[in-house]
Amino acid sequence: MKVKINVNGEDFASDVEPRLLLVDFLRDTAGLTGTHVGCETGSCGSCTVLLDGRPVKSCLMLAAQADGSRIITIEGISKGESMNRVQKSLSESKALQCGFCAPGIVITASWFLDKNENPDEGEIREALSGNICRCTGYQPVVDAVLKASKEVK
Amino acid sequence: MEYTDRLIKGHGKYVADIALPEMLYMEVVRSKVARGNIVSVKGGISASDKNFYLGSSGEGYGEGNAGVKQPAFAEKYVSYYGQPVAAVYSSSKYAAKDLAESVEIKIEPLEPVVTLDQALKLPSIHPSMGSNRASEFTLGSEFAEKGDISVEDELYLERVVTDPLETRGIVSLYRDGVLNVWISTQSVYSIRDGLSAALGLPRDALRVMQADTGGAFGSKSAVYPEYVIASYISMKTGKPVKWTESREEHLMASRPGRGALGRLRLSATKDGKIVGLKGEVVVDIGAYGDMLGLNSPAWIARQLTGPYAIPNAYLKATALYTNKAPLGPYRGAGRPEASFFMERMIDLLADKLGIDPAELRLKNATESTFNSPLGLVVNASRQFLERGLRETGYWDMGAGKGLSFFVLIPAVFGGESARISVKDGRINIWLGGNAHWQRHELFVKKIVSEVTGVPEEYIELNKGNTGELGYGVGTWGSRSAIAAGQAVYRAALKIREMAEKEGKDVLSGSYDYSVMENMTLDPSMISFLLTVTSANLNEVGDPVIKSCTAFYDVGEPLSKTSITGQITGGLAQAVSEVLFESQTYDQKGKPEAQTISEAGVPYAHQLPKFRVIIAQEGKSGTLHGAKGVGEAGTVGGLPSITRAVESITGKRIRKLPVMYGTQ
Repeated sequence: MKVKINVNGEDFASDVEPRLLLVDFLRDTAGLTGTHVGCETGSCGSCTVLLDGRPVKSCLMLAAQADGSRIITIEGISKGESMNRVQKSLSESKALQCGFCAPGIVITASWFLDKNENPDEGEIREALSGNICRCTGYQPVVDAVLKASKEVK
Repeated sequence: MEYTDRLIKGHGKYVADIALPEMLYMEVVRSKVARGNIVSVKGGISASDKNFYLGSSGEGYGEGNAGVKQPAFAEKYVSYYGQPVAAVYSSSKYAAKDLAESVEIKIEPLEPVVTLDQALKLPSIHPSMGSNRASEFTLGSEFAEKGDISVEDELYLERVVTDPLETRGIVSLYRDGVLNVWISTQSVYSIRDGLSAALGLPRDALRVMQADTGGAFGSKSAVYPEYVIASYISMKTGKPVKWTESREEHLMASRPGRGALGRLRLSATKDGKIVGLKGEVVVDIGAYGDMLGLNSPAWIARQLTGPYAIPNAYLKATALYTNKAPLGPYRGAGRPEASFFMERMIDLLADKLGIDPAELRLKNATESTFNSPLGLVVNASRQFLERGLRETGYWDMGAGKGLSFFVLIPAVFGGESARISVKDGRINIWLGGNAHWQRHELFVKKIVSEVTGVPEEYIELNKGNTGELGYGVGTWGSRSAIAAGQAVYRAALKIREMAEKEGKDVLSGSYDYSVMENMTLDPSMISFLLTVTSANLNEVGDPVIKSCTAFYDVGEPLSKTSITGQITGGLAQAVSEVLFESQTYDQKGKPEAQTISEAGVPYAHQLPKFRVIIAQEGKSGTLHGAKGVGEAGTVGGLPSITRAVESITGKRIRKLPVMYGTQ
């Protein structure tokens, strides 16, 4: 079936199998491998992208369901070589280790900070409750997001 | 671009991201019973076409009797749920999954051996073996028990799947007589040597390259059946073959850790001086035993006296086969088992004697170098314990507190390699211990910069590659800072010397130097770990960890960011392992956790704030003075967090996790 999905401002039109997952469309059809597959059950958040402005787990959606929508992936969350405030803060703190969770965490935290000014640590932990980081114990990630929340957008 | 910036921007290159022309996608068809005889296999490639046998590789590898060698494809019978029986491939990922569905496997089920009791009572799971006893050891010597009182208990740690966020994966390409392998791994050398042994290829016919590696925690050190099968398919077809493990496969068929039982008995004088330790350690090694599995019970038993001066000890240690996925290392690999068993016993003794657990530990801590009857040599620990109890604020804590005090023994055996190349005004480094981004680059750049005088921005740490550095060991067993650190230090000294000889500035010359640094464990390398935890109860009466403080000896701290990150990461895994994380098996031997949530991998809102105090208690006898750190959090965390939960609930804890099935 034919779908057209706008990813990071660019239209991708393709004839796809009805069962094709959105995450496979992004990774294989659009060639954007920054969106990761970690669990295939919507638990780990590595595949999180923004669909029409809201975070979704792209491993739980079909490409067909995203037909006609606008998607932002990690490759499009900031322009060119620049980084947004969440990325900058994670970069400065050297908070991450293996980094596999980073794309999903950056998408989720960036969306959350856009909606919430001055969150406290508990609210940040709740906001990240759909993203798994197996390496850090979350402390350095939560600290970095808290620091980012105090930066100007 | 600095590597974290690359990952933060989504520009990482993990195995699953590799796209090569004419790529084939492989799927593995697995046994859906834990034990049975194979009647027929229709479709795909299976044992009747070609088979290979795995030797010992990865962490704890070694020569010796590796028990029954694990076949790449189950042959005649299946030994665990999820064991590979057949494989299929296609040029499309989805078509390969369809092909896998079409393979028909008929298995006549047999009653599986699931529990340790069954393993002892029932005939061997392998017809070629006389019993399920895979290995047996005795440590120390029999002694007549003295003292005024004794305590005994049976303790058990459930199996835990490592669950790195990136699952396992490989791309193999056999071309022009060379097998090129891109892989998510802790050691390109164990992959090369393991594949070489299984496939019968000479080592120099393999080139193994590490892709960005999204965590490992032990499960990515050894060669698995899937790696051999993917490589074989590439050799057969001449095309690149990719295999990406699903999370479901990871939970059923990767190598989990723990699954260890301790039956221990402490005898002591009435004022709390421990005079004897007796008992046994039994490990469930699953269906196949490599050297790590076979040696694991002895390795646990050897460490049991930890930082304590216990004059008499006698232990039996046994590894048993069961119809489960083969045991592998999980962060700590024997060390948290030892700390949990011993510290649980010390808490029990403290409760029986009515002595504060900290006082009891002070009374038994070593006051000078101590040769344990089990073969462990540790330095004086008492002063460190006294200091830690003060600095963590232990004495002022209220109800629901838990304390642990133990040792971290780094796996320096085998040494490590490093290569430094200076060319065109830049320094490139390769390590035998292949960083999967535990932040090795922080301490590696620092060492090389300090020794050579070259600023860090001109220095790069590269991923593992057998073509760039032909020999090495791997990253595991808290060995990287200490062993890889020493190797890179030695290479940096040599580079500096080469430049000095030419009267040149390092960066203006062209130098290349590789070194294999041999190392032997000595007591200066062993760290002391003091962990203090506070717990309370939530509104429904379940225990919640409020805070957890680590006071860990790291020797000379090479990178505080890296050390703190390693410790908090390990403590996080300890919290979930105590409370709810595990892989359990039903009566038929089927793994019960089939999703990452069911396994209990924790989220941010389930974990406390961690506090890390980097304690330097002397330097190790290495060039740079560092000690190990990677597994400190699970070794120190498990018993301390367990005790805090026990204190707040008032119920003795013998088995982890505490809350089965509540995740």
